[in-house]
Amino acid sequence: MIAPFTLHWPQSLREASSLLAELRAQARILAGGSELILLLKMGLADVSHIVDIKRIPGLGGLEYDAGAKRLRIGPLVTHRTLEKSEVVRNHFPLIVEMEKQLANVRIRNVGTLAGNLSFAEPHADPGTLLVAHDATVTLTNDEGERVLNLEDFFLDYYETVSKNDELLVEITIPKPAENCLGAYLRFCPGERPMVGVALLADWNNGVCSKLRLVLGCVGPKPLRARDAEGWMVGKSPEEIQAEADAIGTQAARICQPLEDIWGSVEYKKQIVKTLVARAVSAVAEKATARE
Amino acid sequence: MNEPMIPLRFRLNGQECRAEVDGADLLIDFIRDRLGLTGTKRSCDMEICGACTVLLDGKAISSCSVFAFEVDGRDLLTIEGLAGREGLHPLQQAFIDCGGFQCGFCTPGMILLAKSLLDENPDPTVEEIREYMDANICRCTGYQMIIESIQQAAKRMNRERT
Repeated sequence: MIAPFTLHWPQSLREASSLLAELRAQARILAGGSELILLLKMGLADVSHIVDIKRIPGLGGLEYDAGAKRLRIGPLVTHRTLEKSEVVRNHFPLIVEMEKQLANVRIRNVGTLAGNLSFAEPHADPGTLLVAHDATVTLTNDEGERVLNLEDFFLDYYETVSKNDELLVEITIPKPAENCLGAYLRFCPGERPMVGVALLADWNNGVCSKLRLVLGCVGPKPLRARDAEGWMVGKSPEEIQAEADAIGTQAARICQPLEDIWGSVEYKKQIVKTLVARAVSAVAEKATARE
Repeated sequence: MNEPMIPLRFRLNGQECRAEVDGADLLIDFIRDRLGLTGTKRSCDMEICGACTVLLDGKAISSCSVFAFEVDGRDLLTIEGLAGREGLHPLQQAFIDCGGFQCGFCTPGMILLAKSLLDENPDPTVEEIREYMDANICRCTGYQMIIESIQQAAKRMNRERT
């Protein structure tokens, strides 16, 4: 049983934004609802107004801008749409692989990527992989819009920097370079992942020229292992492969998992170490094979 | 708070249907308590187990965590709408023939999820069946007979199509 609320169906972004500005903390945005409704049922969200954005035209776009080499994802695009999209499969295969494993098909049919990111549940897959992709989000309100790196959009457990009256209207993901190799590994003994590790590495002239190593679910938000990233840039695949375990150990040192029913802090750090070592090793191996 | 009821027009198991709901009504309660269709089961109540699976515009969803008003203008299929005049749906028959259920509690959800799979992919491999059906939980069968039921239904449906 969910406590009664007033339902709003804004017809435009402007209308939605002014509604949200007026209602502020009493309101929540509804798209797919797969996270929001769980909170409402558990009585964990004090909500007297729901703003359903599904009647606002133009929010369901999913397009690849071939000129700018960017994928643009509207806030109503579901996980399932991304999973089945040919253009996403062609240009962002890791994202399809991640989406295929996300929760279950019933949730993927309903839940949106924008909703998942906005909910900022740390035990989630998309944020980790999309931070590694250098994704950005566009937030809009009456005063205008701002574009943020996804990494800076996340603030804390279940918190983003989005203001009460701001709507996430677009997620943009640049296509990885042609010479980029990547991996996304997760450990998921329950419904939500316990650890996620995303690695994207560009290779030039036999060495790693750019790298993103992101640890998910083991802190308040996706965490970039910047020291490890810095160390790997300029190294050959062979040098990196030889140090895979050490990179895993270093990643385990910087992550901040919480103890919960799925495992202790030590256990989760061990999983981080193993997954990072595997991801580093797999990507270095692919780079060696390509040379 | 006295909120106005929300009028709905939708297709329920192939028939035009009108109803009014509160904004906060969940689809599962609307289906079970208002429409009286108790084939849809509530179990985990958090989108994990799939006992409450129904098809909305052909897509499997968890009716425990979707608002009832979302069915407005759309096509809702529950397990009660699956059998036709000519008898059971091939999936229902296959679950009987292959022993695809024991206690039966997960079965409506399993069959509807399997229908959405076969509508999308009429000839799935065992691997594809396993991957898709891992959305729903069964505590009796060990899943093997459910997979066999789906394979048999797919065979029969593909035969009937040709």
